[in-house]
Amino acid sequence: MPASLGPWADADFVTTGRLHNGIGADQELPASVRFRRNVAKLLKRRHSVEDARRDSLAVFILSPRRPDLVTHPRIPMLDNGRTEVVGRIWFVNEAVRTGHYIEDISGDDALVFDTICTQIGLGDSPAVVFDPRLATPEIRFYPDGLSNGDTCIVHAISDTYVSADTINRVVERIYESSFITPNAGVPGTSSVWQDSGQCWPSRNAEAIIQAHLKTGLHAHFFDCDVRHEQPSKAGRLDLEIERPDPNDYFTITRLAVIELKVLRSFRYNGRAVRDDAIPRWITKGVGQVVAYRIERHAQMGFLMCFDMRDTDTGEQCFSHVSSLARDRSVCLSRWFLYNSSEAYRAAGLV
Amino acid sequence: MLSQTPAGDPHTASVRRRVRIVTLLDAANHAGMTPMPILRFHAVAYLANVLAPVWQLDAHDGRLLKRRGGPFYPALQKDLDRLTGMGLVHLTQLRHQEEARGRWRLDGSYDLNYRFASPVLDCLQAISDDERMTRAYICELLLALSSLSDDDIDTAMQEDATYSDPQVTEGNVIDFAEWSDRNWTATAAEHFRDILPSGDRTTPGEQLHLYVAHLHRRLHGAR
Repeated sequence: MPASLGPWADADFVTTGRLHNGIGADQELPASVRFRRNVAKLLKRRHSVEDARRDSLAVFILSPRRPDLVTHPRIPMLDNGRTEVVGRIWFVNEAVRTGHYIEDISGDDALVFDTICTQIGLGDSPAVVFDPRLATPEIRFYPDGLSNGDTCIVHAISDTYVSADTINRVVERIYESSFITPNAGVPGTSSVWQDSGQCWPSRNAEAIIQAHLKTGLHAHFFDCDVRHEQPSKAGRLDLEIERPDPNDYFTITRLAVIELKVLRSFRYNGRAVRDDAIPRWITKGVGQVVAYRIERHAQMGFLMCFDMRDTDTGEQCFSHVSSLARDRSVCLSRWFLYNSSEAYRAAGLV
Repeated sequence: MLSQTPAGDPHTASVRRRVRIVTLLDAANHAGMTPMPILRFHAVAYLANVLAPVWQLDAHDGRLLKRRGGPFYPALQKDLDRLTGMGLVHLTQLRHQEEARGRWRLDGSYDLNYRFASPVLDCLQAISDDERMTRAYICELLLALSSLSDDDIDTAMQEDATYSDPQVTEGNVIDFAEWSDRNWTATAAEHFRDILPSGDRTTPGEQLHLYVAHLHRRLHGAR
């Protein structure tokens, strides 16, 4: 151990890393996404404990302040799975490393919802409800709170299934909700368009798409870490999905590397892009994915193209690399971004 | 000069301390750790200084006097009292606390009064990227510290890599970013990058959480 560590020169950093690696890797994500992921991780860990209770609900509310009803002291190290969570309403921060709780909510499930929405007044706060009584225990995530029960995402507590299909489906959903037309995104957030009317992508289009994909993939694959812009010998990798072993966080399975490309007819300032640039970018992208996949020992490699050109020419942009991609196991996918709702409707997709 | 501590204008220095107090208490509230007793607040303020390099930030105050009872910043306390008088900070649970050797001191617990503090926080967010970055850093640090029990935070200095350095005895100055840059705490947090499989891809947030996790292990007997 290097002497430059002063009083901690003898420290056993490795054991700490094995136990806690990955906590805080989601620092850039929105609070509700972190909350959902970290509650799911905690529940998975707790559910694997043999004598954990399985006879009632566990409810988590993203509201770290201690409500007046709570009499118990704050519970630290909540994320280690050693504290009983079932039969309680928990009030936690997005890292879910500590929490306050109300005990004994066994019995009437409707009463639990009523207590949170009416008595405590936190019906609009993001919430997770875990029901371990089911044959396949499930997690229900209410991003807009229990008062808005129609918006609910349900998933099982088991390992998320990561395949080329599931990754592409998640990206497809992000594309549909955020990028398919200029109006698809959340108002007030950064646009991928500099001037959509003229098909000029934003200078940061790739970074904006990358941030959305990172958040969406993190949210869906809750037991995986999605890392971005990793410096490597082969260049800089856009996104990487990896799954740490829950019993030894030093053991990482690298599931996928993803290279993103924005295909464009114009630059952000309106300068036209040369016709031969697109095939060059795509060829280079396939080469990058192959190199990253080998270097990172990743199971899958993706080249994802977000097509912001003025004309939708379909998948023919891949024709010159399709056999190379097949041979080198690179999944190619493309999503066309319509520059207006009118263009989208004209394409006959509604 | 390594830290941001302004040498001259006392008014600017006081404003900066008050900004730091509001940011710390907001982050503590966000992590579920308010109201916060006086000495715990000063311990957290110290950790926010000493771990700042992990987030590529300068320490707000790069040195302090080593005390048996843990970190205490007199100027920060004066501004905390001032903010309490202005109504931005609530002081609750006021009480007398016995210290060692039969000495008593006044103690209390602090929380933000959001009625008055919210416009300040909104304004800080709009001022600059640096303020937003500082706020993100302090929020993540408090999330990491929330994994510790109150007792562990109160005794954390016994094991903190910089504060516990036996080469600096009580009554002397611990300098980690003023005239010296020997910061064992930040070095230890950053050392996790060297041993984790994620290597250079380890985020500053992970380094903070891992430092606090290791602090916890040391407080409970591990090395």
